Amino acid sequence: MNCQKIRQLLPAFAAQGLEGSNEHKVKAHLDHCADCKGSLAKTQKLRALLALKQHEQPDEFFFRTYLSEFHRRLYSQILQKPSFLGKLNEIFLWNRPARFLWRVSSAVLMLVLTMSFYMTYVTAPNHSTEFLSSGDDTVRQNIGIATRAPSVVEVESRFNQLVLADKPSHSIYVLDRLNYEPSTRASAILQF
Amino acid sequence: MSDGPPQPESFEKKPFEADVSDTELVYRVQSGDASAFDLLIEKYKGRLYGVMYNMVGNHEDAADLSQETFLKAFKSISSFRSHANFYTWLYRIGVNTGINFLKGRKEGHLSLNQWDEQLEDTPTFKELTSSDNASQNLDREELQQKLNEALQKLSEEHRAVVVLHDIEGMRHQQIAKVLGCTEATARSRLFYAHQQLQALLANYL
Repeated sequence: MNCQKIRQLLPAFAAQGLEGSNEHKVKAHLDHCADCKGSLAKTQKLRALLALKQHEQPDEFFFRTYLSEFHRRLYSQILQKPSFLGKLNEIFLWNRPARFLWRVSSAVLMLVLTMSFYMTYVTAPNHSTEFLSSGDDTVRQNIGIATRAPSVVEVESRFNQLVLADKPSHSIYVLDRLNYEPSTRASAILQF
Repeated sequence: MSDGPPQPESFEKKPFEADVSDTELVYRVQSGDASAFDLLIEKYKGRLYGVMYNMVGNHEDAADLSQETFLKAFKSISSFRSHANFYTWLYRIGVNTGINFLKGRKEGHLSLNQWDEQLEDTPTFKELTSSDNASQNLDREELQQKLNEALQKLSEEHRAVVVLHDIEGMRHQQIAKVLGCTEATARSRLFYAHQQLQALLANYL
């Protein structure tokens, strides 16, 4: 172990808080390194100086009223219950794991909302082509919308089929696509 | 470190309760016996106050923060797991409360608590104030002031590590649990804090 690593262990060594192999390594290093020995001496003096702070005490009457002061604060807090946001704020302030979970759950919620919006409004099916795409291939094939203008006979035949099949919306759609005026079968006017 | 001032007259402790463990007391609180929490306060109020005082540097804020810590602990006692160490858990709440307070305040003032009688018996104090140490010409108040100022010059996280390790006597493993970091991080912070303090207190080392 080099001096830098040994010096990082010196505070724990000075506090007799090192165990096992680390303690042996530090002892072995200190046997032949005067610089680290000097660092250990400084660390021990610093610790002794800081330990003086253990003797600092508040006024002798301070702790006599400590418990009653706690009860007073507790009751006043009970009487003034914080709002939902106040409780969230308290959790957020001192609970680090909750803070992380809050961020993650907010991000997941935003993602879910965005995906829902996208799937609902952006990729919504085009209802104008729904009739054609939802299994009306026979209509296309029979009438020939994609390739050529159908004949009057073909249109009337298909129109009758749809009416008999009780698909009035489909039949009106077929008429609209071929520029028919919506009317009864008897008074249908062909307009190409 | 002293165990703190004598108990208030209004508080009566049953003989068997003197040996009740923290786990038992927490269990009683969780079962609805709020008075058991009073025993926990009596046990840890001195040490927790000491930690807060060394973190913030003045009595008023330390008193306020230690009360706030106990209130938070009481309100969240139901989430305390019985296999954990109550002392570490309480200190974690306290240190986090102190660090958040320090990050929120712009400027703080230092106030000096009084020192107990055992101070003058410590070898370190005798050495610092001996007549042989003429170059120092140190008195108690000056030493206390210098110590507190040096601690306040550290960052909040470094100060917390020094307070917990060198004043409270916690080990790195416990400090890591209190601060929510790894043992290596706690060790590294302590090393850096010691480097800074040795520079600030060079005249007294």
